[in-house]
Amino acid sequence: MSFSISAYDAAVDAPRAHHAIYDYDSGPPVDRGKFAIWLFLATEVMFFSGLIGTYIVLRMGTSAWPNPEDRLAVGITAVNTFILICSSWTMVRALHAIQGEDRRGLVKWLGATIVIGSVFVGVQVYEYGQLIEHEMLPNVDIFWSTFYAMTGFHGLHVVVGVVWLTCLWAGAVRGRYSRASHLRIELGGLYWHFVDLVWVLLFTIVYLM
Amino acid sequence: MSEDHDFNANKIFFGLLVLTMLEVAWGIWMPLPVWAVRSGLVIFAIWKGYLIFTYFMHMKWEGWICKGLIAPTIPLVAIVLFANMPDTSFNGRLQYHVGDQYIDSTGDVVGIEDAAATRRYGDKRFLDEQKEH
Repeated sequence: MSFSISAYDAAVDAPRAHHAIYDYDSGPPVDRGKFAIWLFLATEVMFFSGLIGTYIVLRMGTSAWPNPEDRLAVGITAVNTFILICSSWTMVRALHAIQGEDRRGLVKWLGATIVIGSVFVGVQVYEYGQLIEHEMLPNVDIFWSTFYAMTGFHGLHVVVGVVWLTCLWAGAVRGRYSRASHLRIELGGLYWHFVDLVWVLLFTIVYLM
Repeated sequence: MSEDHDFNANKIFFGLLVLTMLEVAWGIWMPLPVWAVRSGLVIFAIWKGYLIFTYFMHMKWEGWICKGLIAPTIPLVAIVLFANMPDTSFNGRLQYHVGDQYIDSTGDVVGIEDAAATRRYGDKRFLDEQKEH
């Protein structure tokens, strides 16, 4: 029995003449990454809705609810909310920079977003530290259980966002993105703005109501 | 979001800052009934969320596919909240523990129901009345 290995025939893989009807894209007319991120964000909306819905049930199930102002540092967290909004703004500036082919601007604004996001996480960790020092733990009562659950899951999302943006920043430093190719910056930005949006709602529900 | 969209990010950012300051002031100092304060807070939060969603997330310029992906969450969220209504409406059956509360302005530690009442009627006056009784 003999085997023959023929040489690679480039003509086999070469584009051939075909009817234009076959030049179609079976996917939706939107970037796959963007399709995926919006689908993911839709699931995230449901995730946080579940948390907020549970909070409403538990809150309505108590005879009285503490005044958040008596238990939480509303002033500090208001400043922290301001900080997170600032990070959304710097993220917008980062995207606008790369859309204008300003690669240094992308590195600068993306770096600023990471730093500001890290400050937000730092303030939240400080707040947790203060609460834990005063023995305000999740098992004390239902107020603290819901507080830690909602702000904790959000904080986790912010940490993931900071890691994600740091990866993008590393790519930006290496000049990986351009005006023609910056979809990943957009996707990271969408996630970051979503995290900001969720915090706007959580801050109102947990700290002010 | 892939194209350049003409909107003033600084303007939106400034609007968000102003709304946040107004919201905090409204939530802490506005001398209105609790329901009015909370309604105002919800309006502020939705307004801010709208600005972020529409401009920062560029939803205003997205096509029907992205809008179609996120739109179903609106009825789904409503279903989640309404599905919880039977639980929330049976207040007498659900009783979760909430610990006592330290009232900073008076230095007293009171039960959570009294603490909530002080919020409604003002710390000092309510606690003085309680002591008289």
